[in-house]
Amino acid sequence: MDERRLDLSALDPARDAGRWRAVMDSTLARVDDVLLHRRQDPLALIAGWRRPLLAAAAAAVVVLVPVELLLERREARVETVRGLVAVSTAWAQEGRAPTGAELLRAMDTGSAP
Amino acid sequence: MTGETDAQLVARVRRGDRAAAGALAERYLRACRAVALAVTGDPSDADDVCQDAFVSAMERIDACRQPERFGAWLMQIARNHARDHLRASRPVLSIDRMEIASARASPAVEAERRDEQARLLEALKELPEQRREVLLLHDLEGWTHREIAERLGLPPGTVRSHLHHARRRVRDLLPELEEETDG
Repeated sequence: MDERRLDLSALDPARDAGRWRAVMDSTLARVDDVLLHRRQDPLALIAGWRRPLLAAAAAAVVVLVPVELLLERREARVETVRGLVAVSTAWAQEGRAPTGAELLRAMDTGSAP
Repeated sequence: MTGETDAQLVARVRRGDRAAAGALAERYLRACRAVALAVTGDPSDADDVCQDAFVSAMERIDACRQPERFGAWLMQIARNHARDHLRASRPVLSIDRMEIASARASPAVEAERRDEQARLLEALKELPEQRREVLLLHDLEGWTHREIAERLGLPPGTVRSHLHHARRRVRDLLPELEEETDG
């Protein structure tokens, strides 16, 4: 491999430092106009926040969905217990023992037979 | 120069921060010019094109999907602008060359420099565009093989190969060209 660097300094923009400084200044002056517009543009401001907002929303979904599922499951268990209490009270008032099928149905639906 | 990453600077530019744009210009405008020079083959055109490309990048900064790869994105914009410029064959928003005050060398030295530059540009025209780009970014701008590979989207082996062939060809064409030991 040829590891000897070529001397390309004849093409170096810094050779004419004044000209290159002018290119730089002119570029930044035009950029200034662009950024001024951006600072005043509410849509650009929103666009700047769009990505972090989307990321935060995605993180919230990842955390909240399992929590919601857990809460739903606990709620379902409470409903089952409430149902069993209700049917057990009914059976006690009637003075009879429930059949196996009635018990299973009560546990399954959480409601009176 | 700031120690902030490209991604951090891009985030600040998106909020309209001028200093961040200035830091990106300090970091990339010369390389942008090298890419433009590789396409146009004309230093004055390259100055205009790199300026337009950088301003265009700032205007479209929200479209930079990978801010950590801002350099690569900007180089692509510069390449496209330079090609458009060649196709259109008309000057883009031009810097008034007559009004630029700069410390000029004596006419004889100036003429010698212009001659040296012209011979170098003629030799570079003999190279394929991508090899010119790699050569200018490495030997003129001082980018490393890895930086060129990342920002041009090329395998490091290809960068080394381009550099090797480009140097050899230019030396064949300009045997008088001074050499430096690679750092």
